[in-house]
This record gives sequence, structure tokens and C-alpha cells, in this order.
Amino acid sequence: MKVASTNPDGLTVLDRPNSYIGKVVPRPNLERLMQGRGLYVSDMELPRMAHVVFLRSPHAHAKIIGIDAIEARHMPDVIAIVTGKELATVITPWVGVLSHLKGLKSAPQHAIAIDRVCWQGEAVAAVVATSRAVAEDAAEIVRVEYEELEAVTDMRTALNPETPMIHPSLGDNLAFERNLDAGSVDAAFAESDEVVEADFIFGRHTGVTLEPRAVVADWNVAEQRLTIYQGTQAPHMVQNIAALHLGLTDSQVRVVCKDVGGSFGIKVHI
Amino acid sequence: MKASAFSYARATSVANALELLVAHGDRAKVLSGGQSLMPAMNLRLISPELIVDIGEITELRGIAVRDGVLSIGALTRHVDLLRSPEIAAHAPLLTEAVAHVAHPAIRNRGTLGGSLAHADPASELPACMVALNASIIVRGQTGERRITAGDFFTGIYETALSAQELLVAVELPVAQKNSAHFFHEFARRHGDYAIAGVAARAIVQGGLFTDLRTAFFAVGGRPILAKAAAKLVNVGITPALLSEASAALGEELDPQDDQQASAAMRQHLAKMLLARCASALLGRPDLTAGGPV
Amino acid sequence: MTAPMLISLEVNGECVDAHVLPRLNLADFLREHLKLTGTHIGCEHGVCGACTVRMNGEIVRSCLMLAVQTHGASVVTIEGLSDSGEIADLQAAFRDRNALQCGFCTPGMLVAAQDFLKQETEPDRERIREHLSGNYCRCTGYQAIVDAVETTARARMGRKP
Repeated sequence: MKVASTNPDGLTVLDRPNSYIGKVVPRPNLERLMQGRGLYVSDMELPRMAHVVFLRSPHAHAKIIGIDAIEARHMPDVIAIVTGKELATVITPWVGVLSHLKGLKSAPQHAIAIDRVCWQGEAVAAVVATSRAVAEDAAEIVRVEYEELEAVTDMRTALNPETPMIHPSLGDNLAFERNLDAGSVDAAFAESDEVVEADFIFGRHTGVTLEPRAVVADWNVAEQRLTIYQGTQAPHMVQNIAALHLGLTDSQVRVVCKDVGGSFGIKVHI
Repeated sequence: MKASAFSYARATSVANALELLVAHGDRAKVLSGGQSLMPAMNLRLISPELIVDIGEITELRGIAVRDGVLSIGALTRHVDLLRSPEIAAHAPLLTEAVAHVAHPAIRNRGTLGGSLAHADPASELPACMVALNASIIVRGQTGERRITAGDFFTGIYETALSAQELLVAVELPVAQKNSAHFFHEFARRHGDYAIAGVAARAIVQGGLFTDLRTAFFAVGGRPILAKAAAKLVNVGITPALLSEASAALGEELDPQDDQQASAAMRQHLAKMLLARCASALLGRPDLTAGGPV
Repeated sequence: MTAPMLISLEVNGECVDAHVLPRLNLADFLREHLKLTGTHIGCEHGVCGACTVRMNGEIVRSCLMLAVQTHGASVVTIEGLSDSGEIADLQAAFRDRNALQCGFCTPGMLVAAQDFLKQETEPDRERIREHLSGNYCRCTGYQAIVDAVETTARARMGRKP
């Protein structure tokens, strides 16, 4: 872009001493990151901090018949094993939709599955211990009995009448539909010299960050105050949603976000 | 994940290590470089009760040449192979191959003994040992055994090593005059597991192969010394003959289908490797010209 | 014995004595026992390079080493490397070239890059990439990192008598 100069010295507005336009400005937080003194949630440790590991469903769709955690609960250094039913007494389910995608449907999700799991990897129990290693040891001996149900994993047949409906309350298996119809497409094809058609099949995409997801939550029971340290792109949203679903006021919840080891959009949701 | 709990013993000698292995059987695992064992434990794929660390056993170190035999101790690290003048002089195939093993930090810890005992079908060193007709020296409480490399690797992560034995060294004849080597592997990125690869050792005289050992890896459960290579020995190689050998190679191999490549792709790559090998070792660019190589 | 074992080692020039469980890996020992959290954990199985430290002069994956294996060793982490000034020029080059964004890979990357610079003086971009091939970066696309290492190599060559 050329900026005309009326100044006899040839200086333009871009040469003003306080102008950042066109200047290379080193980032102020590089020093601590390069010295190994970054402030990532993964690195945080609070006094007497416990660690949680989630036991996850290997099945894409199944009934939870029972969870036997008696042996695991008695392991030394295990603090608690929490199931979906127990957790539901302190946290209400949420509906995961986006206000800018009108029509997106989603069924209420429990923090931990109750009675039924609807995706491979859905949490069925939380194992809390004094270290992650012990929590993982305990998770290995929790026994979950599942009754497998028919899974729906193909988008192309998901709307067929014979395909089971995963969430009957939604009426069908359609989460979201967007049609883009601009211009006279049919006419354009009809009038073309050549029409080239191809099928593209993509796997699911996601951001893959080097720092895994990390959150530390500190409930100060004396002050009735929750402090959440999270690697997130949206601390205010985390505050709103945590307060809403935990039955707290916004002023009882503080979310602290310092350095994040990559997000690329995936750490923007709760 | 974090590894499951285990006991740890630092073996003071080979005899001491063997005592521990005999006492604990398959509940014990040998720790050499740890670059394959630790990932498996950190993923909780295995949970040994006892780790026997052989890293301090000095007897297992060292590279020596004597009477035409190159002897390499089991604790020789990949980086040691890479930098060794003896290896470069007497087994240059290894110098070239080991540069393809993973990354610098892994090579600083990973050992030859560990790699051979682990027997990952996609790894480089087992194939090199087969190509070089190495002897794997193994010791148990009853004594030492020598196992030819071709007989040592029996399947995916399976070898002739018993749970009460330790791999102590590898011996191979030093490179002869007129000896040449070829190594190539196809991988998505440098340092990734190979999709298909070949380690080859040949004797070339007057523009002909008088000996050709081509050990293919990542195309089956263990390194495969191609019988098809025999078609290229003591004969002037024409594109037609190479084609025949290539077809024979295809018959010999039964590669796996997996997420990295289909069986057909591995077969195709193996044939290309054979052609490139012949072409490079004989200085015959015509053998790879014209085709999809 | 799954009981804690005594180890004695040197970390960033400091003598350290500790009782550790055999299962404790070096990365966790550095981060949790010594609070040296500059060494990061990205994968816990040795593929990402975020945990790279220097042990007895050579770079290793600290997530693949047991703390009990480091008895008698000398370990240098990013904090030690940085505080000693050994990589001041490399860090400056990273800053000038903006060779980091989230910074999570950076400690491991700097440790590996310094290892390259100590072994090879020629600023060959292919060789730099090969040496750093075990360090993942999800943010920068690597180009700026290679530039910064190349620049530093060149400057160090210029400084040699």
C-alpha cells in the first residue's frame, strides 16, 4: 500500500514513533516460554491436589448394567470412585449446541454417563486418587458390565427408517443440516461444456495439540468459591457454564487461563 | 499413561541377570535401552513385575575385530554403531541403516541387543543381520548358543531367545573385497516405521553378482531373505530377467494389510526395492529406467 | 522391591538425593519432585520430543528413562541450559524469527537444536531437519525453527577463530 507523503522529508504516517503498523513486534511472553518457565496448567500443582482418571466405555452404544468398584475403592491412596448417578447430584446435564448454527440439535449430556453410553470413549466413572498412576491402577480393576446395543456409525444410513434412533427425544438422528443454494446451479451444469464429478471422503478432523487438555479445579468449601485453572480459549464461557450447571453464582467462580500448549479451536468448548 | 508398579533390579553381571530371569520367568522383562520397552509399559500394553536392568554390565559393551570376525556387544547403542570406525570399515551396511532408526534421542539409548530381541517386523537392524549372515550369541545358565540370524527371527516380536536367556553379542564376518551394500526403506517421514525396506549385501565382480543377499523388512512378520535374488546371481542381468526375479519375489512375499499400506502396495514397493538395489549395486541405471521405480 | 529406592544425581549442576519408586520416569521426577516443569510431557511414549533433556552430555527422552536409571548421572534440563547462558544466542534467534507460538515444544526443541549445534557446525537445513525430526511442533510449521537454528549455526561459525 502506498501512502502519499506531503512531508518534504518523505516521512509518512507509518513512521510515527508510536505506530505499530508495519512494525515487527516481538511477543512479550517468549522469554518465559524459551526458558522453560511457561505457566501451563499441566505443570500446576496445588497443595494436597488429587488426580482424576476417567473410565471410558469401549462400546459405541451400550446399557450400563452395573459398576463394581468395591475393590478399587479400597486401594490405598484412592480417594473416591464416582459414577454418573452420584455426580448428577451436584451437576446438571447440558445441551451442546452453538447459537450460530441455528437448528443444531443435541440431547442433554450428563457429565458422566447414567444408565447408557452413546459413544465409544464416553466416561462411565471417575477415579480420584492421590496420583494419576494410582488412579490408573484403580481404574484397571473397576468392573463394568455392559449390554451392547446397536451402534449407529454411518452418516449415510443414519436417517434410514430402519436405523435405530439414538435419542428418541430428538425425533430422529439428524443433528444439523445446512443447504446452500445460490444461483441456478442446475442450469449452470446443463449449459456447461464439461461436468466433472468426484466423491471425496474425509476422516473426521480435529486439532491435535502438543499439550493435552488440562484442568485443575479448586473448590474452597470454606469460602464456597470455585477456582478453575484451564488451558482454554474461552475462560468467560467456562465461568458461565460452570456456575450455571454447578448451581453457583458467577461471582463464586473464577477461571484462570495462563499459557496454553496449543488449542486450534478444540479447547474453545467446555 | 503411567506404567504399572514393578520392582527393579540392576544386574551386576550376565550371570546375575540370568539368575533373576530364571527366578522370575515371564514376570520379568529385560531393560536394555528402554526405547521399545518403556513405550509399551507407558501405554500399559505390558505390566512386568520385575525389570532387570542390564545397562551396567560392561561385558556387554564393545566393538572388536579379530581374525576376520566383527564382534558387537549387545549393549552397543545405535549412536555407537553410527559413529564407529570399525563398523564403517567392516560392516558399512549397518552405518547406513542405523541412520534410519528413529531419531537422535532414541539412538542415544536404544541398543543393538534390544532391537534384535524385540524383533519388530518394521525395524532395520534385524534385516541387516540377516543380510550380513550374522550369528546371534545368546547365553543361558547352561551355556552359550550361536543362532544364525536367519533362524533367530521367528515372527512378530518373536525370536529364538528363551525367557531365561540373554542376547549378549552379535558376530559377523568382516566385509570382503568386492563386497557392496544397499539399504533403502520407504516411510512417510524420516524416522517413521518403515512401510517396506531392504537391507542387502552383495559381492560384485566384473559387473555381475557372485553373491546377493536381500533381506526385506516390514513386508511380513519377520525379515525375509528373498530366494528370488538367486535369479540375479552369476548372470548378466537384463530387464527381462529382473522382471522374472521381481515376479518371483512377489510370489515369495505375503505382506500384511494395515493402516499404513495394503498388501499390494507392499508387494509393489518390495519389487521396486529389488530393482533399485540391483541398479545401484551394479551401476546400471537402465534397470530402473522406464518403469514405475 | 517396589519400595522406594535411593538415587543420587546431578541436575543442572545441583546435587540431588531422592527416594523414588521404580516406576517413576525421569520426566515426572524432574517435574514433580524437583519442580522443574520446563520439561514437558506430550505423549508419554517417546514420540513427540517435548520431554527431551540432556543426560551425560547426550539428548534423551526423559519419559522413556526411569529415575532409578539416572543414579550417578548428570542431567541438564531447559532451565539449566537457559540459566547457564549456553543457548542465549539460540534463544535470541528463536525470538527474532518467532520460532515458537504456544511454546510447549520449545524446551525440547531448544535442547535438541543445541545438541545439533554442538555436533555439527555447518548450517545444513536438511541436517537440521533430520536432527529435529524427533521433535513435534503443532504451531509453527517448523520453517521458522529451522531458520533460527541455521542463523545461529552461521553466527557461531563466524565467531570461531
